[in-house]
Amino acid sequence: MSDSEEEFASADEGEEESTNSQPKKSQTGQLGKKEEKTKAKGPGVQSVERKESANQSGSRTQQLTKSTDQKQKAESAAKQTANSKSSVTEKDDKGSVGQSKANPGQQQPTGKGKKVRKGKGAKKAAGKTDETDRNPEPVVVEKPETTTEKETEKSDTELKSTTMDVELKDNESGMPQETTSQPSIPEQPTDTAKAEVAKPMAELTAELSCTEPSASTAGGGVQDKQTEKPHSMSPQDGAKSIFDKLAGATHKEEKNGEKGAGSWGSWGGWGTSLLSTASKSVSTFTSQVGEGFSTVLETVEASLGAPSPEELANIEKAEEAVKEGEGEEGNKQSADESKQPENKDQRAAEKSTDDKGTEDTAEKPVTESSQEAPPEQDGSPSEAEGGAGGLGGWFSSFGKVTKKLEDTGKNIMTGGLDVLESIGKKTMDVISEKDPGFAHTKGLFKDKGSKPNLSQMLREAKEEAEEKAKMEEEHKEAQKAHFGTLFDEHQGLARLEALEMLSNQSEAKVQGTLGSLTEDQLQSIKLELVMIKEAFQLEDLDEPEDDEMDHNFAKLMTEHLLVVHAGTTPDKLNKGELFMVQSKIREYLKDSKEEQESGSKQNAKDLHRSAIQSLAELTSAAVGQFHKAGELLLLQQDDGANFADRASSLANLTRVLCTEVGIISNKFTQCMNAVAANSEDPDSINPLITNVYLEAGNSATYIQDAFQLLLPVMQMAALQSHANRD
Amino acid sequence: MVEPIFEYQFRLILIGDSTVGKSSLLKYFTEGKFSEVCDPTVGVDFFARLIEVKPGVRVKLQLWDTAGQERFRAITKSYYRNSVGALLVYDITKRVSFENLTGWLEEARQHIEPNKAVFLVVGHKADAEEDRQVTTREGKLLAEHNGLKFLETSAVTGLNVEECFLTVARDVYELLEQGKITVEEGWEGVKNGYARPRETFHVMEGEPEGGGCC
Repeated sequence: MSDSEEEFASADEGEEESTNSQPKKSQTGQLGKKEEKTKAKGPGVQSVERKESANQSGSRTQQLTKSTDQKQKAESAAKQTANSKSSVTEKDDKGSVGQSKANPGQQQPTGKGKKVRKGKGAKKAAGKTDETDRNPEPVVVEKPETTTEKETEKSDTELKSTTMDVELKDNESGMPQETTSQPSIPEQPTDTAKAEVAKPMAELTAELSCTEPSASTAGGGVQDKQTEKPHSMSPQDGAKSIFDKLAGATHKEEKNGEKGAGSWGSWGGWGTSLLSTASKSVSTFTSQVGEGFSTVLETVEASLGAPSPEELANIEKAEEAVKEGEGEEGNKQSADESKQPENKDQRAAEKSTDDKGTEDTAEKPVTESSQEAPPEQDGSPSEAEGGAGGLGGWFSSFGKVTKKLEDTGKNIMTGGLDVLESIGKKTMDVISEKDPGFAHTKGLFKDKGSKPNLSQMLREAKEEAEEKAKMEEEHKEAQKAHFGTLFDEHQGLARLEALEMLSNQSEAKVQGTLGSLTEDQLQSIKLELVMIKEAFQLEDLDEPEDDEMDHNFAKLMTEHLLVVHAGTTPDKLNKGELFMVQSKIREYLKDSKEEQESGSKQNAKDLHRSAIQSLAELTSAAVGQFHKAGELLLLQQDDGANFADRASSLANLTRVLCTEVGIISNKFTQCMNAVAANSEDPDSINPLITNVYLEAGNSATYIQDAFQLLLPVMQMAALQSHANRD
Repeated sequence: MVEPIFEYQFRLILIGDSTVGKSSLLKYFTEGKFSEVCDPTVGVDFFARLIEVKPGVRVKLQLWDTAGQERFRAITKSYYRNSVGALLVYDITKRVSFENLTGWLEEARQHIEPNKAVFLVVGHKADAEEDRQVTTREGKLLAEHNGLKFLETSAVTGLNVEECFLTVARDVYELLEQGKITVEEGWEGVKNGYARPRETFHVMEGEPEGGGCC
């Protein structure tokens, strides 16, 4: 409908201009004619009209800029006409219009004006009535909103129909009879076509429509028209020349020259010119608005069929068809020709729809042929009427200029808003197109706030790991010189534990045995038990009486062990671990002292570690010795050895061991002191020396504790011995 | 040097007649070599080794090598209670040691009783094939009869030495995972290892006596 509106507008313009200024007339007048024609054609000529309307939609921008006021009128009229088209009653008018087409070729100069009038008249007449009825009719109200879509639809449908026409021309020529079915049938295909084709076209047209107001507001629109039109004429001319030939060949009457040819050729030429101008204006607009729309516009251009070569080819084809056809058909063909260029372009886009079209061809040929052919015949009279009415209506339209102005104002407003909206959408689309991961990127930007935290975390983790590694290192170092660890490593803990178990077991047995003993038995054994207990009281071990640093450890130990085990000590114990360890330590100390005296430097840390290791090993061996002694004590039940003496020997053994520990630690610290004296940093060595003394004290404590654990064992052994004696 | 980091400490005890080779077996396991001369054990000797019962899980095996001599039996009995596993060792070249095995098993079970323990029948000296008096089938049957696993080992060739200890350790660990064995206060069969003692030698203090783990 918008097409028709525009057509009206252009028609109005054309008339106005023609009346006012000749040069404009030629261009605008032609436009107006075309439009009028298309409008006036009605359903019968719909196919042609649609083509034109498609072109017009492209050229709309210009037309609109010229006559924004008229636009609205045209719109209203278009709506009306659309309605009228659909109505069967208007067929006649259409038919008349169709004739007008045929006529214009002959009577062009006047014909144009007539046509315009006629078209106007027809449309306006309808338009007037419609205008009055507009508001009440919902259909009419809807139309303005969907004008763009409708236009596209129309164009699509037109294309189809035109294509159909071209294909079916031959058939059509012979099928005028079916005119009756025309009105209803043509609409159906258009509707279906609309649904399919409308969408792509609708987008384009929507964008065009958006551009329109801005172009008009830009003010360059009017100028563009004039400036561009001449440019656009070149294709027209080409088309004209062709058409001229055609006209000359087919119709002598059309000699009138360019005008005649123009009227004929204008159908085709106008279409092309409109397209070209539309594309140009669009291009200028695009240059103004920006690159964002360029892609859209390009697509628009392509869809509108701007390329002239194709059109020309099409036109030639159309010409051939015309030649083949009859005089009447010539008119159709001319219309078809104008349609064809568009059709072909559109065909490419609408191939899918074409298929449908071909399917529908069975129906269409009849309808189309009927549409075009019969109206031509009947059209002339109606044209005259329409023309008369059109004049009146056209003049009356002047009075409505103010109203149109209002409407255009509204249109501009809404159009502007649309433009803004579409620009916003386009911008987002462009952004998202160029950066598919836009949302993701945005998310990244947002998350950036937490990034420093991550790096910080990593840094902290690294520091932590380093610290941990450092601690591990220190710990490992410490482990090497850790008395407890080394003691356990030499099974000292296990031995102590085993000794403890033995002790606890013996303790329990002692208590049990004592409880079961009679008073006399208790009395007889009491003294021995007390003596044993006294023997286990070690006084002032911290101050070793034995200052002699070189006591004979092995000799003393062997003596005491002999007493403890009553001379039955297994070789394993005598040659046992304790002696080996002790001698080893003494060896080491002797060597290190010699080394020191010889002047070779020693590492205080190594000395410290050796000292702790020696102490741990010795202590473990001592505990093991006590454990074995305890086991043996419990096993050796036969002899009548004095348990008090054994206990004393054990105590002496403990003293010897503690003395040995003291001697070893002293020797180690002496070495370390010597190292510290020569060291540049004695402060770092002093703690190590202190540590050796500390661990020596620990070692002595372990040994004495182990010794104390033997008390119950010794008592038990005494009890068992006593029991055996009894 | 034994790495002091481990998840658990299992105490295993080796029992069996004297001279069946318990000490040799342990020495091979802990020192990796066969010692020709071996004095009879007095009471009990102690060995230790770290093993991996499964990737990443290290366990310290504390091995108590008991004296097989009859006179020590009264003493060694007291060590059963705190063991979570026992290797019942017999000498395949000494039929008597095999026949006594049931007595050892009974004794061990009796003393370990309230606690659960893993037993393994070990036919030692498997290298001395020519002197064999107990067939592998007999050993296996005995083990199966008592619902135990069976292995033949040799401290000379090292046959199955690792395996026998690993088998017991893994079984113990499995029971531990299943919750059938738990770390208990006052029972030394299974103890939590000390993964990372934090103390440095600056803070080192004398170990509280009583043999507690540091």
